[in-house]
Amino acid sequence: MSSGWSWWVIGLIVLNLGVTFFLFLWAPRAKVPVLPDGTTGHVWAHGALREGMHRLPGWWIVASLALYFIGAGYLVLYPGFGKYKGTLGWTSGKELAAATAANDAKLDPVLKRLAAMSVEAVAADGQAQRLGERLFVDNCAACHGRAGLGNLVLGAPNLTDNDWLYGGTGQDITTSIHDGRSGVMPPWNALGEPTVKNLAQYVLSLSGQPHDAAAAAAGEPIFKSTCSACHGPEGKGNAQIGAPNLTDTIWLYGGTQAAIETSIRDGRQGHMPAWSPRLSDDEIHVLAGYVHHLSLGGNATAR
Amino acid sequence: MTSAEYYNDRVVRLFLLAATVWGIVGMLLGMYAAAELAWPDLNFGIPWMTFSRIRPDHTFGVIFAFGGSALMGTCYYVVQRTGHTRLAWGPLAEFTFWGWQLVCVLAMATMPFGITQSKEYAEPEWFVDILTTIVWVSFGAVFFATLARRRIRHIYVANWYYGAFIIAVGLLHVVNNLALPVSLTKSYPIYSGVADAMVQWWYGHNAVAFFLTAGFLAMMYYFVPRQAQQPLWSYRFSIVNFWALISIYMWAGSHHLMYTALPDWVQSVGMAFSLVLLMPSWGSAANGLLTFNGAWHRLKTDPAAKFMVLALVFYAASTSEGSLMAIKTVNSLSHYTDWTIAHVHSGSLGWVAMITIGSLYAMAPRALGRPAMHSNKAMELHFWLHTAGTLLYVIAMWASGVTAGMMWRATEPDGSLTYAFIDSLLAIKPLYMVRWFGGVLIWLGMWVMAWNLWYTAANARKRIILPIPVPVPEPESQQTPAPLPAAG
Amino acid sequence: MAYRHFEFIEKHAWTLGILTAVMVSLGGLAELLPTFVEAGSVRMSANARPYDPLRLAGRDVYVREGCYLCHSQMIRALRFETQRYGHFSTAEESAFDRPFQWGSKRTGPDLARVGGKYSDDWQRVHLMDPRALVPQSNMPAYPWLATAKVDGADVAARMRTLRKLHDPYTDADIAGAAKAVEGKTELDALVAYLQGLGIANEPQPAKTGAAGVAPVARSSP
Repeated sequence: MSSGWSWWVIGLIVLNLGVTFFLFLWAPRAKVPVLPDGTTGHVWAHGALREGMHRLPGWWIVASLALYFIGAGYLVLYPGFGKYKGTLGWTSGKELAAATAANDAKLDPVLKRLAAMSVEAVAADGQAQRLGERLFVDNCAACHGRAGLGNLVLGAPNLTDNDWLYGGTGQDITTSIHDGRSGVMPPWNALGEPTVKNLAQYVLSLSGQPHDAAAAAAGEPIFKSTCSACHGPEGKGNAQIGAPNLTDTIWLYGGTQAAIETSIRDGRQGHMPAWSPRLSDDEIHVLAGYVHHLSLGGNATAR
Repeated sequence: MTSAEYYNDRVVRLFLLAATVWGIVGMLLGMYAAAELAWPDLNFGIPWMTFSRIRPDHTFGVIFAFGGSALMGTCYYVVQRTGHTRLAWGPLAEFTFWGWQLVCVLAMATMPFGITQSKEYAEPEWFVDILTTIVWVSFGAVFFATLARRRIRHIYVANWYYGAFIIAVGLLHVVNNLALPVSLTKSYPIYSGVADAMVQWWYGHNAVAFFLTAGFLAMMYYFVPRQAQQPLWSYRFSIVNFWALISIYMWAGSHHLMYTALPDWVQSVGMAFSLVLLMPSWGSAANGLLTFNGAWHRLKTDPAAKFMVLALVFYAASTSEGSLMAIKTVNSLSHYTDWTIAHVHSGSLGWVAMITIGSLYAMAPRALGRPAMHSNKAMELHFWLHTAGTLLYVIAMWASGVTAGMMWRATEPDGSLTYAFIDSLLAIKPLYMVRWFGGVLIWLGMWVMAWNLWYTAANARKRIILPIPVPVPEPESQQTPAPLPAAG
Repeated sequence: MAYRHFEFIEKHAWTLGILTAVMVSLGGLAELLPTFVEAGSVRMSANARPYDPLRLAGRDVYVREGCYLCHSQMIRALRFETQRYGHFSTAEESAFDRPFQWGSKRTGPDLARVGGKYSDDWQRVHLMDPRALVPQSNMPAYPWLATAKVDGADVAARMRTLRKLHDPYTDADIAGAAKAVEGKTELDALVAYLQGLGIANEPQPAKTGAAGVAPVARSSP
């Protein structure tokens, strides 16, 4: 703030507080003509409305004086009086920095202790589990659900079944969180609707679900020539590119015939954002431990 | 000087009717919005029924449509009685009525359809703002022209407040709504970011100060002594409270922006003035309450007086709460939570609505040519419905606000945050249902009032109501008016 | 002053009115004018960039729908806020918000840095049906956004108006507006806006960190 504006603000503060403070001093002792009945003699509304002239209550005078002192004192201690900084040198930034440093002093040792451990060991650590759960609920639960059971609408995987698209080692999980993942299955509607339906029947057969055997047989060669590039000739998936295993009963987007047909016809894009811009490496480490802990059936914290 | 002159109560009656209707509409919208927060599927996928679309309708409906109609109606009533003169410029006064109703209908019919500036409490788009300005200037013209032709030289304190309300709201409205239109239905404010935030809360806070406080203090200053049948407690109190209140309030807006990107110095100034503000706030509440000294027995028989006394208690309480919430440390807890909602509603349901209802019950029989309201029991019922509803509402939101605020900052011994955001929502959801129920009680009370007014207005509806003559010349200082001179 | 001065004021409506007008103007003169000057310098800073056409359209959908009534875009300079939401919000970040979107109530979480926190798909599904993703949520569904198309000519008109208010749009920006939003729905626009919050309006690509446990705002403002 320039000096000009500073004086502008100071002048107006002094003017306004000055005027009201004068009134505060003046009002209790003002000499106003009073009639014998204790009213001012001003009359309105058919004579029904009159004004008394009582003394001002003592509590109000004391309280008001105190308020002026507090208000003025605050502007002495804190910034506000133009560009005068206040005797305490307080700024909201300094207050935040101090509070953050105090909290870091508590948090950093915990994170450092856990950072030195493997993800697998973090998963078994009670303190890490509690810490990880809170991180999980604020950041991951929106897609994976509070209990980590996933979400078919988004294709957010269930994290409790120990079935992994991109591998389930501590390092794999850390990488998934740190860098995010983008799974892309292209749409195959160009193959034509009958083929899509045949393929869906074949996919159903892979996981041993009820299916139309003739249609499945018709779909098989197309699967072997086209889909196997990602899902493998036996449909076991590929953790390198996050292609799911189609022979188990775990489905990202649902395992009904209609859902499978939609997946084939329209393709799927599953995107998990990278958390490295948002969470520190130490936090990601704790979170990876928590996810690992969830996958071990250790859903105890979401009880 | 001695010509027969009658009070213009027609426009007062129109505003009385409008206030009742808008009260019911505005509170219905509030009730529905409250229900949507508890049961979110209640918008049925319909855009204009969605919470975020009807919430501005609720605030506009109760503040400007209900409160505004009540303020303009009582203002016209009071300025005539305290000046012993007929309202100046009758047709213009009539225009302010129809103009204000048009403003309210236009605003509330456009906002839910997405035609909105989305500035809190100033949502209507530019074309409504222009119409509002025209009506407001006309309102001011009628008021000051009536003052100019008053027959009692000394201007009563209620009129100081009505005057300040008109001047300040006009200033706030124009400055805050300066915008450049893109089309009929969309405009951009000339301010952006921090500047817009400062202007908006200078406006928002002083909409509270001058619409919801100064205006209703004017109402209080007239109807409380009238209903207590006692002189106003202290004239010297009126002087210091008035000048301090209207000037200090204008600095306090920045306390809505604590710990934000607004420069620290503005935040601190806002906080310091918010504390000093307690002086005239407590003073005004005390001046009203102490007026009942010697007339407390009236509370047993007069529900209107009961409304007024409780209104002043709520005023004192919520204005103290407001200054408390302006303290940086408290604000860091209360801001962004339902504590704010509790605070505004203890102010608006407790203070504003109760002083309005009390004043309407005091004014209606006089304006409608009846000795009293149709049913005393109904007023009593309304009082208890409104009080119970307000307490339920305020306590629920207060509990919700403190709960959420504490959960957001709760930190484990190891320095990590205890709760996720969603945990705070889960914790307060049951309180949203309690709040809704409180709103239902209040809304039912409004229907009781409407029913009562309908029967009180029987003569007015049959058009057999007699106009009340203005006492000319000025009466002496006694309860009974001087006999009127013969006409002619 | 003596009582007769007050008596004079109270007996003269014009004097009363003018003094009232003076007294109610002081606070605004002190707080608004210097703030305008400071805000002006923020907008002129080299890092400040106005919204691109699609995000502008999205911002206006956000404004129209009244999202500010339940979501703030203001991470306060408080430790527990920066720990949950990231670096505190700065003046630069809202320099082009007309009106500002700091909000006054958090029925839902702060959105100042929500950009990139979830996938586009998540935002889409969540706007269409919040409880499909967050069963406990009390946010309304906004399904009509998916069918409403963004009007390119309208966006260009908005940019021209904003340029009159000194938002630095070039002729090329405005000429390209219609193409930039071609075929886009209001849902696309809103998602683009949300995904830019805390990212595209940052003065410097901040390593904001900490949406969870670790405090990040280590620098002072």
